[in-house]
Amino acid sequence: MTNKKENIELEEFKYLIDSRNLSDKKRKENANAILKARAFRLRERSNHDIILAKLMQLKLKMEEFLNSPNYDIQNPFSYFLRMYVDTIYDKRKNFAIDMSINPLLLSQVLNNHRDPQEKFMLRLIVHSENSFKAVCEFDPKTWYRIFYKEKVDKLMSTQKDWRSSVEKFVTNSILETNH
Amino acid sequence: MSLVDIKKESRIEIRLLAVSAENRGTGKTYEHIIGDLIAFACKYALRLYGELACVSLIPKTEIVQHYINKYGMYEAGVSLCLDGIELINLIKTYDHD
Repeated sequence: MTNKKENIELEEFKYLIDSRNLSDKKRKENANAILKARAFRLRERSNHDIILAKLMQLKLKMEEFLNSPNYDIQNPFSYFLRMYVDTIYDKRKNFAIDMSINPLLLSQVLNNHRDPQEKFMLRLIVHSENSFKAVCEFDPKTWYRIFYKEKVDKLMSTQKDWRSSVEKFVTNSILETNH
Repeated sequence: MSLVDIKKESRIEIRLLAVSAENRGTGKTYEHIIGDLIAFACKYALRLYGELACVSLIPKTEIVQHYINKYGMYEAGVSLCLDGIELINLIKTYDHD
């Protein structure tokens, strides 16, 4: 870009905020003032507001996971489900009661000892809609999408383990040609 | 817009915010550009830091009161900050994802 063109573009912008050149000393003093003000506000914050913030954080994290080809979360479905339950309930047993499911079944799902049944998933969708409506829109497909993304990714990343044992059962008599 | 992630404070600082000429003043082409940009920073902070999330900026003196009134910010040092329920409300108002 030529200098002249660059200058014209810069003139068309109004820098509403530009604190790039603040001195280190001034920045440190300012950071201390911010921490003090935030600490005071945090003490005044209600438990309800904290839950809303955590729910919105969970939604953003789930969206990020669904949009990322690579991730480092182990067992994403149970990871996000644990976050959801622990955000709202002090005891996981109370979530099981609200969902009318056996606490043992919940524990098995949360600890990856079994997959959630359809009944569990449908109740989770309804429960989540009620929880999230106070803070943000929530796509009811989210839990299912996370569950199946985890399944598909796991299956595709372990092809070495299952492919040879599966291939021996499969032929394609119509399209397979020998050259 | 330029953001700085200050991890040890769970804070995102908006260090630079600029809007093109056609999107300023009463005859602007698009509405809510500043709000949308701040909402982007708020979502970023909330995703990283949850209930501790905070977004701060150091505005020019003449727009301080406007930002307090319009975006629910509060003054701390020479900065304006946004956290708690006000941060969530700004996302709800300006985020159109």
